[in-house]
Amino acid sequence: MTDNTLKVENLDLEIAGQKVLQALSMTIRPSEVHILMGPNGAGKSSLAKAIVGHPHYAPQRGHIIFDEQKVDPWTPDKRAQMGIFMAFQSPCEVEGVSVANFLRTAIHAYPHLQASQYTATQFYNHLYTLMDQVGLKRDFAGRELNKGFSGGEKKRLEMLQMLLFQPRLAILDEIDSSLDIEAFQMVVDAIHFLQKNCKTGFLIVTHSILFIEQICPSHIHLLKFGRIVQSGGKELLARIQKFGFNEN
Amino acid sequence: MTLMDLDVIMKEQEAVKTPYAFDAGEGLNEGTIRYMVEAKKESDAWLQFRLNALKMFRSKTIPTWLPTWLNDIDYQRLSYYIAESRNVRKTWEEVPTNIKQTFEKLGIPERERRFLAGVEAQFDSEFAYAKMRTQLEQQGVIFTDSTEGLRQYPEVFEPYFAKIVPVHDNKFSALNSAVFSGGSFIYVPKGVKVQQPLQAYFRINAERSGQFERTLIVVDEGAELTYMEGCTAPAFNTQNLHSAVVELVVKKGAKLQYITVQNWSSNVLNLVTKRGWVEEDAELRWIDCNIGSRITVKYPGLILKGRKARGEVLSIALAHDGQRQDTGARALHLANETSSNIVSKSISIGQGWAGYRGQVYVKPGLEHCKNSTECHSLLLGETSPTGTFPTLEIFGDSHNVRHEASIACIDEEKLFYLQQRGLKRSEAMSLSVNGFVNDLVRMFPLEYSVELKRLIDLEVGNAVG
Repeated sequence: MTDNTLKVENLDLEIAGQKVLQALSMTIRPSEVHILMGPNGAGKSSLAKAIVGHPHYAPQRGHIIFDEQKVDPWTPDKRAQMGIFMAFQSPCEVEGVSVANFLRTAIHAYPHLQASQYTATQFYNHLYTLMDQVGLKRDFAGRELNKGFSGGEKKRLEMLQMLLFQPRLAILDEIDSSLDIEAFQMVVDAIHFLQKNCKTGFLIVTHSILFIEQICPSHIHLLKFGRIVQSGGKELLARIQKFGFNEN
Repeated sequence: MTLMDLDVIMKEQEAVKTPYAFDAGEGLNEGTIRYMVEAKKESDAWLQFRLNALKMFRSKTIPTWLPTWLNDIDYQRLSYYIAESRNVRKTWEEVPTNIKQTFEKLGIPERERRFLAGVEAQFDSEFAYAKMRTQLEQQGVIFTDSTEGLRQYPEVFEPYFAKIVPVHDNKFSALNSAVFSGGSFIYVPKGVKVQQPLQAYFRINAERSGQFERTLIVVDEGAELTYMEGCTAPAFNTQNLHSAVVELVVKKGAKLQYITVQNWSSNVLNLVTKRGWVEEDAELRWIDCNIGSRITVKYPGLILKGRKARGEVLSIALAHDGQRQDTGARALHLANETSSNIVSKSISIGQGWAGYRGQVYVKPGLEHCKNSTECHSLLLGETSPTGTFPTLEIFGDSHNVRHEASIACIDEEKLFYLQQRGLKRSEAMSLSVNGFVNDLVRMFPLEYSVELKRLIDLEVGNAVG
């Protein structure tokens, strides 16, 4: 039996002599939705990158544990294959690689998707369904990965990948920025769909109160100077709305 | 397993043991050439041609821009003519079993059945096999080797032989002229459009040997042809030398596409001169892919001689540790309204050197010529070397000439992004590299583009581990 819980224990992260995260701890269980708020430069994106294993964000102290295993020494791809997904604020453009080819290659990395059983037709049918769902025109399948995409189109493709890979933990870094109202609802629906059907746990970095209200998170954390200074439920949101980040 | 996997295995595979009916032995002197001429039953005129070329070879030095260690090639430790037979078979059944197996492992007979109009398979100095579809023979297409081409069809080939690439062009064109053997001589008559490609396959099997094929292709007015060449050799600890001369003639309104996938083992010195003569309204496209060899020196050339002649050089070069791909292009505009397009993409892995060296020349007194040159280098290591050495000599003010170059390191953020999606680092690297060359790979016939991708995957994968 897998527990699919993320435990961040006493994480210290320094980059170029700057303390970015300090003794940070956090636990995310399946189906929980955690919101990470805080002023610019508080360390929100750094925490996200540390969890998924970006080589420049390797913690000096502490542990990241997923599904009861220490993932600290693992490469990003191994963590991804465990079911940890991150949607990026500004995803990279990859020239000469089509969306469809990339996705067909990538699904083979995930054992739970049993990609080898897909025929090409089944794959494309599934892909097109997801494209309709996230609001990307089907001709995007043949376009180069993220190349020349608008901000909103990149975000839609990030959501498509999340729905395709069905992660056990999804980290969304400001996914709501540069989205129109229709896309906004699509993201909320996608989160709820995975939360319900795949028991995916979420860590969501955002500044948008409206977005948080739509998502109905189970936990809200306020991050300042690399520390979680407050954690709570919806009541914390009301206080932040009233007093801003500077109350403490 | 794909054909290209086998190709890689063949690079590592040992040479096959085969009795050689002809072997000039090591060393290069008049005696070597007399032995060859005797074996090939060539006329006195060719003996004199070869002996003159030998003198020329001895008098010339290598170009100054090349690594100085090329001066140390010990020409006396190489053998220049070695052939298991002078008998070119027309069926695979007649080819000696172990030689046939070599070509079978490379997938040649299979490709021949599937999509080729004709195949020549050179094993060391001579063809082991050559066959073209009967229909093309009936249309008057000639598909033979250099010796037979000059002997049987002198009126077709002699007017061009050593005219596009003169003997004295450079040290290695002189060497080739002295000891040439094998290579494709092709003539496509007026208006004949050959639908499927003709392919030649070059295999070096003997240790310390040189391969000096000589290719001459004449595509007559309004005719069309695609020609492909592939090459491999077993990996020996000693050097092999491959020094070919390729001359192409594309006559009025004709089209020729010349495709090379060079995958020599890393002990082969690949010093090649390739040039095409393009007449009025004709089109020549070089697609050149260099992945193997210790060093490749090759700048496929376009001589745009007729009004509105068009030429392209599309090249991919990949070098890993210990390799140098000194590749590029030459475009000489000698008539009005001629146009050329050069795209070079090089990939340097570790300390491998891959880059571009090129010349674009527009003769004084011309009007409305066009050239576009793009050189892009991708570096896979932090200290990987590359270089771009363009020379542009443009006379006149109605021309449109454009040079663009870029150098980029492999983007770590891009690799991270792809890894976050579950791809291994080596897979992410392969995908990025394949993406980098994708627009050129798409120009290859499908059969080749699939294999080329696989080969790049393997080279990049090996480098990353």
